[in-house]
Amino acid sequence: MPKGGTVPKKPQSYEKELQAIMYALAESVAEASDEDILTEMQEEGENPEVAAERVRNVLLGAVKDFRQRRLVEAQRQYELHIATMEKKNYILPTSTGERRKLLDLVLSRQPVMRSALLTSQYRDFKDLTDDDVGSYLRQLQELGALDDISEFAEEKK
Amino acid sequence: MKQMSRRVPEEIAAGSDEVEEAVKRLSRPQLLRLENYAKKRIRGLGRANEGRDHNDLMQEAITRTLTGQRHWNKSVTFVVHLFGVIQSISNHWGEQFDPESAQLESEITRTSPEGKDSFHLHDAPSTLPNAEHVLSAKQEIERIESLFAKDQKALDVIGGWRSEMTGPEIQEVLEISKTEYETIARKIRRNVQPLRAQTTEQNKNG
Repeated sequence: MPKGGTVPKKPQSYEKELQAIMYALAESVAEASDEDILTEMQEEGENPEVAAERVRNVLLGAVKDFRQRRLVEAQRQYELHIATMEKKNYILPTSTGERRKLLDLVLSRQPVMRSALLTSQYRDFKDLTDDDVGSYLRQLQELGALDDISEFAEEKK
Repeated sequence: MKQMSRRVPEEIAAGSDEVEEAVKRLSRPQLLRLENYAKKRIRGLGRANEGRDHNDLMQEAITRTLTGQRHWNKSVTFVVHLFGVIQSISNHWGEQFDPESAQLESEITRTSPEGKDSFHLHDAPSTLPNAEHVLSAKQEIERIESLFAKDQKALDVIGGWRSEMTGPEIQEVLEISKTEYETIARKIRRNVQPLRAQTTEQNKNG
């Protein structure tokens, strides 16, 4: 390769060559000084402050979209899980009173479960509806938390 | 050798709060540089951008950081990480592109989360048959070079780029310093930029 002369060219398509030029220009942008970047933006007739905030909003928009997709997916998974549980045949006490006793018993033996299941809204156990009690018992049974309850084992027999 | 995935488990990928904070801390020049970089990478893709624009590219970089597909190594700054991801994604889009495949309008129409459709076809010459694409690229190269008809060093640098030579390789062949090379690159960039805007406008108007 001769030094100090015209740069030799490899044969390639024009599209590839244009790509190579654009990519090289991109790298020169990445290495440009802050001053050059701001000056070039102004030369294009754009307000740098407005343009920069536009870019920031594009990036933050991607964060927001990601969070929304995760929430939607988590909700979908939760609903799927509940639907699956509801289809199962759970052997639970038939009376609401017995169910409440059972739930109270489990939660008193497993305080960690009480914190996990009862939100601040339901810190008073008495505020739970019958449906809530049933749903919690099914979830606890899924987790195996009822397996060690002898009173419940008797019920199952 | 099987290529190992660079994806990290989502639980140790950068959290959305962390990324949001990093975006908020980006300076004005960093943001403008990112956009400019993404625009050139998209333009370099040509038909392979398949209607995607620089905003799509930047947003994809954020998404892949959040999902763990591209791990943010904290030894580099967030903006450097994003440059790397943008480069990697655009390379991947270029490799994936099949120039023989037809495209449906539905595939290049983008719908925002708010349900608004946008059609980027006018930003990508993807409806033109191959021969016209090649001609378009040839014409664009000729127009870029015509801007520096009396500047041999600039033409030499452009020639080096066309041959996919790196900056250091070009500097060595032309026996110029890094500073001189960067000065020439800056001159080319500043003259080509208005030309890019003009060409995009012409493509929109058909």
